[in-house]
Amino acid sequence: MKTFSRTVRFELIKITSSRVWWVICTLVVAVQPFLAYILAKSYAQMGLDATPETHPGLAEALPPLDYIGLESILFGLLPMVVFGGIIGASEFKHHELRTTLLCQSSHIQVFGGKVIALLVCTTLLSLITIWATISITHVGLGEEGLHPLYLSTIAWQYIFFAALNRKLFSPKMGMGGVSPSGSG
Amino acid sequence: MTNQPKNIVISHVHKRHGNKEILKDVSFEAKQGRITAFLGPNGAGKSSTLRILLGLDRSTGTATFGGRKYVTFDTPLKVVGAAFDGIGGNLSRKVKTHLKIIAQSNGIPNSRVAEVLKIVGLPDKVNARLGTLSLGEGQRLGLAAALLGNPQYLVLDEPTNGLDPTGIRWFRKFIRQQADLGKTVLLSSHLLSEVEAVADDVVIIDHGKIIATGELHQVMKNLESLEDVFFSLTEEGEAIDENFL
Repeated sequence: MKTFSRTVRFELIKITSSRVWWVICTLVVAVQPFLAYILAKSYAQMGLDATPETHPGLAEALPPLDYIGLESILFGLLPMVVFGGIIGASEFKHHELRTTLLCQSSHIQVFGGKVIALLVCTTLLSLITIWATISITHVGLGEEGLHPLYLSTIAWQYIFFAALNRKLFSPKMGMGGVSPSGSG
Repeated sequence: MTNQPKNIVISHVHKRHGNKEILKDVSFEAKQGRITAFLGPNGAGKSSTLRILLGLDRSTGTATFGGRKYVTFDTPLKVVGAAFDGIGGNLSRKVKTHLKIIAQSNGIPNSRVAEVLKIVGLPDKVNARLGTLSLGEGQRLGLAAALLGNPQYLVLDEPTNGLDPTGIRWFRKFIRQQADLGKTVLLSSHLLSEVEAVADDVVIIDHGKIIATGELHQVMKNLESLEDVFFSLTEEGEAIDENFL
């Protein structure tokens, strides 16, 4: 168990010390909420009851208040999937997997450690960025929006669902390259 | 073949890739306190043997460190230090971070990072990114990683590749010191003159088969250099001779 927790920590440090992690963090933590804020401002300008009839530029009516902001989080999905893919593929660049397997020779433990480390990283990042995006959307909506910190039960429910969706995407991509039988 | 404590023992190792037999009954021993050079032309099976020894590839037969397989060690870096070609890490990482990650994986204190960088002559590169290191510096970094756990066994694949003359001289001295400390050193190389200057024992492999093994002076017999021995034993030597006729 001690060896396995060391392997998980090893994988966590590897992920968080990589440049791609910080690029993805910047994209989803800073850019996504910023885009959400711009969108929220335009919603506030139109009014939350805007429809294609009142505003021809709209394809459909704005969603109910509890669901506003969820459209912006789609921006972060692609970087997260790319992140999982890059993390998985990076093991095969410059013989990194060989170093990994020399440090921890059990292929199963390395595989398990990678899955858990990716799950932890993507869960944390997804929760933070999705919450930040929804909160900033409601900041942008001004008085018409929900309380940016507390939101609503439905909004929180969808934050967790969206985070779960991303959590399952990125590790899947990351694991594509690193199977227990791989040896580097 | 006896399994002496602190010896590396490779016994009856066979390896196939499809129909091709990569290694044919490879057996030899690297003894404690001695430098064993593992020689052979490109594609002879040197790296494959070392990969099997380090649990990176599967095979039949046994390959052990003091009677134990690599995969049985909980913290392998404290027992075995291995260096292969290539950086073996993310090029955007700093040297310090790269070594700290490796150290952490085996419960080695971070203070050891500065020590090994000093040993291999890279203390100034502590904050350099891996991608900015030269070939020789990359080799030294590989040695630093191998030394992190102060291991009993050193397994080095082509360690002098990319080293300049100063680096090669440094390496000879370094590796001799390690052997004198009682460590078991197994190094593969195709640079025969380099090996001749430093090895105590020699194992020669060709086409996946061990063709000579023993102490350096015994293997050399009456021949002038290790290069002569090598060419007298391998088919490449015969081919070269024929081309000159």
